[in-house]
Amino acid sequence: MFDALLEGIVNLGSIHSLLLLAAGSVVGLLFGAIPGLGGTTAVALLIPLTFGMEPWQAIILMGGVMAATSTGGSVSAILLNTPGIAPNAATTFDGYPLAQQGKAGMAIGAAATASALGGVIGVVSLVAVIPIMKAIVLLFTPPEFFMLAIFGMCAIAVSSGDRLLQGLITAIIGLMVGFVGYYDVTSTVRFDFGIPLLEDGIKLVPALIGLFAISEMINLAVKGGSISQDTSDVEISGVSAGVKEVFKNWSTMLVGSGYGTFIGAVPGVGGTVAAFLSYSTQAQRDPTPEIEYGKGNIKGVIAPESANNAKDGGSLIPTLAFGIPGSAETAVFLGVLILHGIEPGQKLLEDHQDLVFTLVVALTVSAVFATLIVLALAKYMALLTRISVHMLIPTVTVVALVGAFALNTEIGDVVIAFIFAFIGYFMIRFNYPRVTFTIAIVLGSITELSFHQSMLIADDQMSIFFTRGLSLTLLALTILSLAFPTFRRKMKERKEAKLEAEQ
Amino acid sequence: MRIPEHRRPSALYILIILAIVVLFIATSYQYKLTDRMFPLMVGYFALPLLIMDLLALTDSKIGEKISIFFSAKTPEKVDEDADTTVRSLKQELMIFMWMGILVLGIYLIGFLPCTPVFVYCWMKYRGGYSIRESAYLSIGTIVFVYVLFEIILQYELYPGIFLYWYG
Repeated sequence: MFDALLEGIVNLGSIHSLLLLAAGSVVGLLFGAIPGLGGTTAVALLIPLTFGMEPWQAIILMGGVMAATSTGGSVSAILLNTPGIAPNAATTFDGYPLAQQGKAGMAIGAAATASALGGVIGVVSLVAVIPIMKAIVLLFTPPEFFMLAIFGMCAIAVSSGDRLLQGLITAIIGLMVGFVGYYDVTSTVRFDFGIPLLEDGIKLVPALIGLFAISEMINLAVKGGSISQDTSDVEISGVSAGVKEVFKNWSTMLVGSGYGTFIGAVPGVGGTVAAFLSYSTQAQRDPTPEIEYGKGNIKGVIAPESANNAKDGGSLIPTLAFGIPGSAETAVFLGVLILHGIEPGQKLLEDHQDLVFTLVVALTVSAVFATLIVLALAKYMALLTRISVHMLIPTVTVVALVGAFALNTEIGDVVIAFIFAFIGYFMIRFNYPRVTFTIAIVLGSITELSFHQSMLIADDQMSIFFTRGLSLTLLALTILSLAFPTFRRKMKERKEAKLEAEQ
Repeated sequence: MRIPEHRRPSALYILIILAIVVLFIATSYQYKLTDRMFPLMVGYFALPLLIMDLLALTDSKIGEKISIFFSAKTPEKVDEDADTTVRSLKQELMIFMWMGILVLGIYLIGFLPCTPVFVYCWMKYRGGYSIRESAYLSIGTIVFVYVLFEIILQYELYPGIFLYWYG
């Protein structure tokens, strides 16, 4: 493990690698700061640039993006009350009141420092569980992988909040998309409808570019206007006071990072839940605060920011160990790994530990690098959110389409990106979660392969999924995850009834 | 049992997905047992979910029960919490047309001529920017695309079907 860590450091040691990391961090910060874009769009847009790179170089670039987006998002959350990405929403509760009180610099200093430390803690946790992950992965055979993929998709559907039914439907449609094309178990081409473009299946990269980058542009175009309506001048000072506040409130930062790492590791739950839970826990831990939460308490900035950055390390645990992405961003990142011939799971953890540690080092350095940029340039980053959508839409759309084409230099891929852009737009329009759809596309082939392998092992007896301990446990977890919304509703009803009775 | 008017676009969306799933199931039967087994399982699992999704949009008792079971909200509460962005059909069709023309343009004349024309037209006619501002951004974009993809990454950008025809 130490050798792999050393190799990761060496990979990042050259000027070229550092430039890649810096480029990734800057793109991540910009896309994080501009509401409506986000890290998933950034990762999807940058995929074509990685085609000619070595896998470790691609990992460094993507690591830079992933570690920087939520740090970027905190700037617009604090200065403009507009979270750059969803996980920064909790930061607005106290960040914006602080900005209104003239303490924007302190809030940004605290947010950036908490983000960096949270990110580092998340990554350290990832490193700590790698040896355990290896042992656990070895316990998984085809029936367990099948049940794990089903559990992953159900857990992500459940995490779509009040859209469980829609989450399950999009997961199934995603699986269907995954069935299109050549099936190597039986050497058959399926669901191609005689269209040559579909014979090799739906290509992941153009589909992801359409689904996340272009669909967002269509959505912005339909909604119109500018991204931020706020035109007030930004005054930033007292950044170092914010940095000191994080060290003064180290327990808030540690608890937030713990939440982020743990929740990030649960597929689909993601940074938003981690940030909100961390914020509400902090408010509960501090019943008599000096400054009320929601009115500019600095701990209300530190708690969510440390959580939403720590989740990056956590969400990579299921992604790297089992190929089950922890979030939309890691689902697209998984696409990058697959594109470069890296198969997540046992092989990656045993044969390509250097790549895992390159990612670890890239995430750590980028978390710190992004923070330094934010501390130095927050004022100018805030101006970015005032870019008119009419400047963003044509440029991002064109670059995205060129990127979709570049992978195989096939014009058909542009058409695929275009079709998936509309699918993505309608998913946004009718509130169907894109993350379950994406994860199902990614998991489609491995799910079916594991199913067939299980059937072969068990002589076509479905009982194989119910008679093995681990597989049965995963099935139980799947059922529990599906029952969770009902359980939550019952608890809420009971609580409300109790409150009513007391009144 | 009826679907209130404001939920009809969602119902239409579900019906389109339902039609795709039915087509998918019907197509699955063309393949051998091993090839169709898992797709069929998935397809048949989708049908009841889609029907429930459709029923949840109705103003019936069953619709309310389904909605509460899956979202812990009554259909009215789902409406209340829904995205309130006004999206006119005309506006949507207009954007789809712009995007469609872009892809058609790329197919016919290729990326390099199409990119500046699209960026310029969008800025000028949709964004209301001046000729100079629109020209600056369109030139900037094509220079960025050309330098990044053609020079640095050395991809040969699609020249358009016309250039293919005329060699």
